[in-house]
Amino acid sequence: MNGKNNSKPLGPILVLVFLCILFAVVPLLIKDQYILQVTIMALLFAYWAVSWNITCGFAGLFSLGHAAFIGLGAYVSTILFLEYAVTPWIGMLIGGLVSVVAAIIIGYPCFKLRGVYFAISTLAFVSVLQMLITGTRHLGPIDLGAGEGLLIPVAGHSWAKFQFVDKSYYYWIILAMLVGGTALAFSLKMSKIGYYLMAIKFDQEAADSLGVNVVKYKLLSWCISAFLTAMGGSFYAQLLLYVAPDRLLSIPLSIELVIIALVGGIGSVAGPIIGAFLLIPLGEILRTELGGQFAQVEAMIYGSILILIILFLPGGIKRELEERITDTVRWVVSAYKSSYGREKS
Amino acid sequence: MLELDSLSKEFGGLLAVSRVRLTLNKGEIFSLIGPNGAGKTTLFNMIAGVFPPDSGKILFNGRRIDALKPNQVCKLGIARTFQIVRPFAEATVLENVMVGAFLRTSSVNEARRLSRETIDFLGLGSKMHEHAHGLPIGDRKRLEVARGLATKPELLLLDEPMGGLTPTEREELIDIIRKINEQGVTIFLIEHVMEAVMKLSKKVAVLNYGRLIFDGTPDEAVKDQDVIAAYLGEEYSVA
Amino acid sequence: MVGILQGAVSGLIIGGIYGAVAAGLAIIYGVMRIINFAHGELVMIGMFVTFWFWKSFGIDPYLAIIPSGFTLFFIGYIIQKGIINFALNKTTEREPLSVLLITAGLSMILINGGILLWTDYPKMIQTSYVLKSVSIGIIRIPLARLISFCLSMALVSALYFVLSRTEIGREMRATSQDREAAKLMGINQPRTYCLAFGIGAAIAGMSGALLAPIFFIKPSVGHVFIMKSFVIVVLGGMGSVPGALIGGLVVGLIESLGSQFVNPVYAQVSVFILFILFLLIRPSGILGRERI
Repeated sequence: MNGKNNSKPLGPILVLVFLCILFAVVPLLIKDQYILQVTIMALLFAYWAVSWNITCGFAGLFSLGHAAFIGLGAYVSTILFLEYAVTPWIGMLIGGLVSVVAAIIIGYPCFKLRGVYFAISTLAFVSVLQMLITGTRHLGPIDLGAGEGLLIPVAGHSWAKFQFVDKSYYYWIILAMLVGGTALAFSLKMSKIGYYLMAIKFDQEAADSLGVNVVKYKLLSWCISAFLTAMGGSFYAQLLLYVAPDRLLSIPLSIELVIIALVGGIGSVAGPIIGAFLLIPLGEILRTELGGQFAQVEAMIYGSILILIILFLPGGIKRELEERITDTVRWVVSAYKSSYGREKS
Repeated sequence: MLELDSLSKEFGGLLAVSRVRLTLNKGEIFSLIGPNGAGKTTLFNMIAGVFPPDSGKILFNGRRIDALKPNQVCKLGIARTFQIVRPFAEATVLENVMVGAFLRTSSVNEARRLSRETIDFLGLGSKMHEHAHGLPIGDRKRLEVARGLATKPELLLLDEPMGGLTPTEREELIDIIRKINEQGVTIFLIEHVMEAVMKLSKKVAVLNYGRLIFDGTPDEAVKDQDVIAAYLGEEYSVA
Repeated sequence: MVGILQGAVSGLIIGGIYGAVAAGLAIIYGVMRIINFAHGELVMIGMFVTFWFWKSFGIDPYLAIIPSGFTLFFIGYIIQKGIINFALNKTTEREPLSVLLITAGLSMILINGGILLWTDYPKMIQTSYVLKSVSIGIIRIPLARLISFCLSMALVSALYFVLSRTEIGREMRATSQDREAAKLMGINQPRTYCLAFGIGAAIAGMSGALLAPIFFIKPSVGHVFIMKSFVIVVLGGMGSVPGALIGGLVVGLIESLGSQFVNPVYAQVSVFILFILFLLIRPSGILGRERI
């Protein structure tokens, strides 16, 4: 599922540029703040899914605890802003760094755990963080908000405070982050690092025997993923102007972005983006149709989709589409050839 | 080039390798034979760094390597293949070999170029963009060798490369191994197929129950009493 | 001093009940190497079955163990037969990640389905004895907890008996040790798997019945039990039923005693840290064995 078609990287790049232009234009056309909000969430989840994929799809490190990085990013930038008036732009970067440190401390010893066991250890990581924040009101002089969370005071339109009234600004920022993250993922995949991660994912010991420093490269993909994910968390905090452990540091959030990546297609760069743009708008349509019962039905649908994807479409939708399209093209070509051949003779 | 000095390895009370001393000289093709379970792959695993010996030393070009990890051993110039091949199943032949090639370069183009050369050398040129899991066993064995070769080793450890091949494929592989050796790569071969051993090797060592019972030329080996005794009653493939 | 003793006893009591929950998880893992992410929800269903029997017919929760057990056995059997066996056939992994994800999906469906049906407001069972306590020396134990504890011990013992003395138990143990060999010996593997999941689910359901008198009942309660069960199973030795009991007692003890000295949150966190340490260093658990 990870065969790289590196003979013609130009195609995907053109598509990417085209999509960028297309997407950048959207806010100018659509002034409806609600639709903008939905698209922002789709872009955000796409961003998170792409970041998660860097470590899971590329290196095979299946994490069910990425919400930990989301939460760390969100909390660090928020606390730095509330307590020390640090602009969230810088806070975002620091949040990323803190996540990298946490990633190393937690991830590194757990790398030797196989598949499921690594996944479960990441679950423990998220649970611990959630428990700690929920149960701790103060860390020294700093207010952590405990279970109620922290509110960021509304400041209207302010670049320095990373707050905007018109959602278009958020839209462009997350679009830029998604484009940047995708470009990074893509260039990683096409590079030596990408090849090494692929080797580690398929057969760690064989990779080792070919000179690949398995731990180093696992750590690299893990930390990059953590950093990017955390920055998304900071963005989310600024979007909602609210951070709380029950959603941000939750296992369901982790699982949600895993589902999105799985649906789209693990291992490919575009797959997670497809997944996000399929599932998030679906969720929104449900919300408008169902109102109050929405949250539960959406979760049930997500759960069912997860089961169906695992059972029937483990490579994700992108791969399925690719194969169908390739099969159709081949069929058309051979049909053309045979009919052409018949005419000739 | 490679010196094994009194290597021993025990697994749960069973002595898999017992005080083995061997010397390989640069440019040789050296074969290691012996009945199943004699400890040959264990020996390879120790050289390759998969696990350390319980006692003894391994010296490569005068430098001790017995404490090194597999990727470090590979960087020093020793590549190995596995008895049961381990291709990166869902990647193409080219991608597989590129993983090996990246050891000596960070440039994708350079790695690709080197890989293409190696793939052609191994006769897999026509299958470059096929996925590894779809290949027949003969091609997979070649892929395994190509991948290791792409790391530009000084010493290549081949663990039963002839296994599962047809006679024609064996001939071809013997030829390829000879050509690799002619390029300057020292070859350390574990094999059951005597034809390959006789045709290729300059020197042969025989392992039985973890102990070295013979070390010399192939012609002497087939006449040696201990070697014959070790194989009596053993189903042994000659063709 | 009394406080510490009291804390220790409370911890052991609740820990024993957790151990019963975890025993169900252990057997599912032990036989099939599956990690059942939906285990907490199976307990939750057991709690709701019990609640329903009590609310509708006034049946004492402890008597509801039987219908709970049967219902969950049936549910577990179906889940294995309909979904998990299918997934197992497609994978070569020894501990399939795919099944973990499938059970995670199931968990989402069950929790949210429950919320839709019953809302997430906590319900409690009021029985005549819920407020009574028993004194053993200077220690006071709530009566309901004591009964639940004793029945949990009985439940785990019964499970152990089934595993070690019955034909079904033998088949399950054989399958857990070597899937292929068991198949060759004529053991019907898919059926054994269904039985194992069914039994594991039944244990979960029956534990739910035991928890119903002493715990709040709501669809999202499963989350409490699943992470604790993971921890217990790892501490006790993955796949070991007696280990699950020991693990449960240890976890209960640490949480209860720990809460006497530090913020209860930190006691819980330390349990998780122990969990990771055991995963890394001693996956065979306290008892040092990885078998049922």
